[in-house]
Amino acid sequence: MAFPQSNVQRELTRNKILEELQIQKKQLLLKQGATPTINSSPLTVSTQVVPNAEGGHSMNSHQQRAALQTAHAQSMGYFISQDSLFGNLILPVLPRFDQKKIEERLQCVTGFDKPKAKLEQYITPPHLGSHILYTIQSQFGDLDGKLVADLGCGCGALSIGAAVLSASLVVSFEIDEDALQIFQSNIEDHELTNIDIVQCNVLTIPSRFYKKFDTVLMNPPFGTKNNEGLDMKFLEVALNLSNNVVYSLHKTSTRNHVIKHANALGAKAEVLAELRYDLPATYKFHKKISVDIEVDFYRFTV
Amino acid sequence: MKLLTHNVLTSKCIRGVTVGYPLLIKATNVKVSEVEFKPDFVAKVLPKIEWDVLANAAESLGHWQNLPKELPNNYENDTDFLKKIHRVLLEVEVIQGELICPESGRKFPITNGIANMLLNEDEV
Ligand SMILES: C[S@@+](CC[C@H](N)C(=O)[O-])C[C@H]1O[C@@H](n2cnc3c(N)ncnc32)[C@H](O)[C@@H]1O
Repeated sequence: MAFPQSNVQRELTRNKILEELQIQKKQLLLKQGATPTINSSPLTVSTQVVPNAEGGHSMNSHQQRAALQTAHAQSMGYFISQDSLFGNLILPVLPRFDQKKIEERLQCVTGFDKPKAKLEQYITPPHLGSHILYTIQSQFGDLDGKLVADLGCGCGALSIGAAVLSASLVVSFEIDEDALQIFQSNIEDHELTNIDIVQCNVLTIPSRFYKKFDTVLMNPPFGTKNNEGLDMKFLEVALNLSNNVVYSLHKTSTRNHVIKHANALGAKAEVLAELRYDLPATYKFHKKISVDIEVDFYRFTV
Repeated sequence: MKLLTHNVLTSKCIRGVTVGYPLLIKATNVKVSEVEFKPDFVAKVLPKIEWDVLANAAESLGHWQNLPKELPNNYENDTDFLKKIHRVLLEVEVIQGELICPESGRKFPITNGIANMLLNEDEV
């Protein structure tokens, strides 16, 4: 072929077109003051600062205010209220671009081939993953130049995002060989060299690793019927490995328990956002096409 | 497997093994791939590194680049030195080979750059 293009590049072009459509659709919806529902979109972002909500421009209608709030809730980007030539009520300003970029990259991460229910294998969806990673870097600066661990990395969605955001090194731990093969080819597709993979059981990571990592990331298995509280065991390991901070997802329904458990382990827990996780019905026992579960996005400081 | 990772890997979880460190490296394929150089990161991570273990590992792979046998003082502003260490820690990678437990002789394969530290149930 005359113009060899990497898979990622090809897919990026396609995604760009899709995305532009999505943005146009969103703008239409926002103009009507309706709330667009996007799968796996953040419901509320508790630490979100809403800049300039009252100041500067006149936000004269309830509709306008609602549109701005929606925009802030749906995106980590910032919006300002302004009447534009095109009659837009609000205008996005730059930082949003970064999150989009990460989302594009995550859309090019190949997921599990034959997901194993027993291991709770499902990928962190791009919209959710990019929200998480962008928050970690833009609000806390916990990726760029850091030594990062990803526990139960699967096909590597979070690791790849962290590597793209300039982690010095991401060490990714995973038990399943099939997932790791896909991860390895994802790394090649994305041409990343700052990721190192270790195949092992997260629960038996040797103590020599303790306190070596600046930042630990995970989307842990929540634990099945026979395996309850597995995410709490992952959390315990994560807090041991980190000398600073752990970011993780846990079911909203277990919030009190998670916070108590973290405190008992000497960590401070903060819920950064409530997210809706749109799990595809990958497994036979899921009868519906997809199952929405509510998860909290946590920041734990050790 | 990068040598920064090797510097912390152990086989301690094997039943009967007390230290399981450092793991011996037998490499059949070693690659050097470029990683963005961040002097601050290297300077910050160095105090946590077992220097002797790093030196032996890199030497056995032919990538020690005549670095000193002991960690020198005042390396924070020595860019040349930090760059060499950066190479050893992050750029040298074992693609194929095995890690060997110094106590039990148990071998852990490295395939396609991934060290497989999984144990059978009867080993833990
Ligand atoms: C919910 S998935 C998340 C995958 C990936 N981190 C992502 O965000 O797309 C959980 C992952 O943990 C892995 N896992 C489950 N139990 C594990 C264990 N004990 N040790 C290591 N990995 C484990 C599963 O194979 C699966 O890949």
